[in-house]
Amino acid sequence: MKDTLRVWLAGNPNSGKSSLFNRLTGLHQKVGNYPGVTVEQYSGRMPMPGGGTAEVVDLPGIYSLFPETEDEQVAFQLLMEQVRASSAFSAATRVVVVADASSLRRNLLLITQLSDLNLPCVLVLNKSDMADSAGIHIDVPALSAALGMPVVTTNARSGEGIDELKQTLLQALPVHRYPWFSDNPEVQRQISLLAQGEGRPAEYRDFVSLMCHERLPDSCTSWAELCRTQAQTAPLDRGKIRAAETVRRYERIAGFMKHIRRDPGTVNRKASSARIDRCLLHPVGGYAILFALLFLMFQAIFSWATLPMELIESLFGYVGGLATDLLPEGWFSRMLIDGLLAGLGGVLVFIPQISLLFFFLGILEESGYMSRVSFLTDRLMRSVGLNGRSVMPLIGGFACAVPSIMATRSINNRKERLLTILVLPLMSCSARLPVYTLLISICLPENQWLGVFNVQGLVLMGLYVLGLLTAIGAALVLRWLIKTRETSFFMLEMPLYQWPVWRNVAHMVGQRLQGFVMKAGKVIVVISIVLWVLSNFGPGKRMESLQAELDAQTVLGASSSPDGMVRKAILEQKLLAASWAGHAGKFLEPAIAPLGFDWKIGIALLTSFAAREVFVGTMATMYSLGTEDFQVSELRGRMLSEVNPATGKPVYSTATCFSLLVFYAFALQCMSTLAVTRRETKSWLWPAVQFFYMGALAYIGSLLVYSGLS
Amino acid sequence: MTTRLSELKPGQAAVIRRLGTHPLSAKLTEMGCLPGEWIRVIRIAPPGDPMSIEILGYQLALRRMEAEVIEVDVRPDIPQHPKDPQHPHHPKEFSEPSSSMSEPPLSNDTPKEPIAL
Repeated sequence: MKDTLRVWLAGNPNSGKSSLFNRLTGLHQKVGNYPGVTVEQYSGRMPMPGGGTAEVVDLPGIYSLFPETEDEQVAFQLLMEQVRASSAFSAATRVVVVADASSLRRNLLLITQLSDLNLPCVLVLNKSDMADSAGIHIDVPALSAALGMPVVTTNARSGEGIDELKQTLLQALPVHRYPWFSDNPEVQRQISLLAQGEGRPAEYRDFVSLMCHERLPDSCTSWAELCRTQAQTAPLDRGKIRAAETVRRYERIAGFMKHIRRDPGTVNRKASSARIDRCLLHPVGGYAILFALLFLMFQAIFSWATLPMELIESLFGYVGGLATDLLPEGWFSRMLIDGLLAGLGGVLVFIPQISLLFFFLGILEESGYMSRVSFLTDRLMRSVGLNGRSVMPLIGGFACAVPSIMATRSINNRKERLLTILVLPLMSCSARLPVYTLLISICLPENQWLGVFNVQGLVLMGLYVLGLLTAIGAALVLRWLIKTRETSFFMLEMPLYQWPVWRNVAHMVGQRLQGFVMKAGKVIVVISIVLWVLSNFGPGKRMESLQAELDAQTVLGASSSPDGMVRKAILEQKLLAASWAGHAGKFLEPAIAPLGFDWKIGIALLTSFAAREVFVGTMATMYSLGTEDFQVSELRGRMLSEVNPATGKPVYSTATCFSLLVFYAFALQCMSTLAVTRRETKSWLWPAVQFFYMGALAYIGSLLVYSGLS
Repeated sequence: MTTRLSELKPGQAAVIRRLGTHPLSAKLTEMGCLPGEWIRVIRIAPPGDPMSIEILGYQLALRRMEAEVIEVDVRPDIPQHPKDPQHPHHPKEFSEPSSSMSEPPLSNDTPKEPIAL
């Protein structure tokens, strides 16, 4: 269906923009790319009154039109592109500017800038209940008259005002064509010349283009070139001109706000927010609470997920059994059941844990606590060459490195941003969780408690701490590689605390989970099938003769006696060793033997290069070879009973398990991360640096752990 | 007394006098650090940096280095709380009318307002 309208959501960070976006589009959201720029775009579809739909695009949050950071640049370029495309645009497009009613004055800066760009704007005053309870009263008709645009009051939490907003969007919006003058004669001369070239009076967009000509979008290269040439005719102190313009803008805003905003009462919400801050930012208590919160989060991830995980496991076991009964005998059926289903089941079982992780991260973000974490840690981060703003992406790295690397766009300083990107994949992401969980359950007894703490949970937390500390250490070393002269800034709004909007948290969990399943799912389907083929076919005739021997055993009824079971298992092992995959694993074995890994683990290391979570799928595929039914929980048992033919000792000894854990904690086995690093740094150098330093860390770390423990 | 924002103690309020010449001045201005505006230090992070301030009715965290750009006037008549009865919601009432940041003041024959208000 063709959308009749296109709606852009713009506004300050923390203005409730994402709440409104979720409210407007509901479940009809998608993550795509902005046309032209390779930046993920959150867009969605909203039903309009009287039939028809509108596409809603959520722009990155900005305080001002002038970009300082990469994500501000994204919003700037999209807006400027539309301004340049001009006339055809305004008929079907609306810009909805979301403003937090409780800090209206700062929000109005952006609103007046957008209005001066001659964009068809509607102002949405959000969080109306909070402004009311804070005793602030805003004269909406007067504000609308002063701004020359419709103003709608909404509460995205309760849904109040949404219908009115939709009605307003259906109307034709006023687009002003005010000429624009600068009070700086030199600026005035230059923008007049620029506008004359296009045969029109000077407008605000000419001023903006002149001030930021190097940041104009790629689609207006010739215009950017004109601006650059013009700007070179006489040097301008652009920072000073921009600041002076902002001061004058604020003066006018203050002028009309006197009549529009009344603020008689004391502010309750601020007072309670300040009380919370006194605890959460306490010199000692603040850090203790931060640590305790992270601790509880990981304990919960481990223990709450148990029941749903068991449910998923038995579901896959049931489906596998059903498929074995229904599908005809043959290699294709075996590939579907042993290859595809086993691999898929091995990964989907971790959905509960990953959902919980995103759920907690969503709450931290929504409540306003994340920026406090930046505040507490900026000094520490700076001493290793990072920025307090690195903390949010780093904590996000616990979930997934890919969106977190993109989230580093809020760091303006190139060096700090690059360092954050380089060390970010050391944070244990959710894809490592399946690997950790499987290995921890093999090498540590279940339900062992150290006082009130689950030992498995403690080890898991230890791995996360290990990743974090290594990231800090790596930053300390890597900082010497990168040189820059740019100034670094922190400047971060600390929003008032609020109860998380559950709808937003749920949307975030849903979006990210969908991304994980789609991304991991695709890779796993392909790899499971390839792996199945490689482990069921081999060079020469050896496999066929082994298979014949195995079939003979089955006919003899080997499964009924313990002796026969062992004979059968040994044959299965030989069969795998004779396959292509077995050969590859054997080839790798000398290199990884010092780490305590056998050739089977070698196969898993190779296949999980593309994505770590494939490790579990690979293990599942390999250990279910030649069996009719498969259950994920069996995998642990099979791996536990695996015996090294040379030594007669279990393959998965404690030393090997910990060595593998350390290997997976450090190694960069994720193609998506490498691809996104390449995209964000615009160079192959940095992904290469990232891959090799992390690989070296993994090898050395595992070597030390294995030789230390065995 | 004129000093820099970075010198103030937690709880201390002041009025912004001007912003120094610095690459971050424009950004600070956009975040609401305007000449003549009431400002208060809320707290300083435990390691001594950054600090959080109240400006324009919201809370902003700044590094000391960033706070050094902001020159402030500290006077006994400055209210310690923005909601004190004598506190204006309108800037410019505490400080001198002109600020070094501004371009030459607007004269009467300056063309019509650039902002569509």
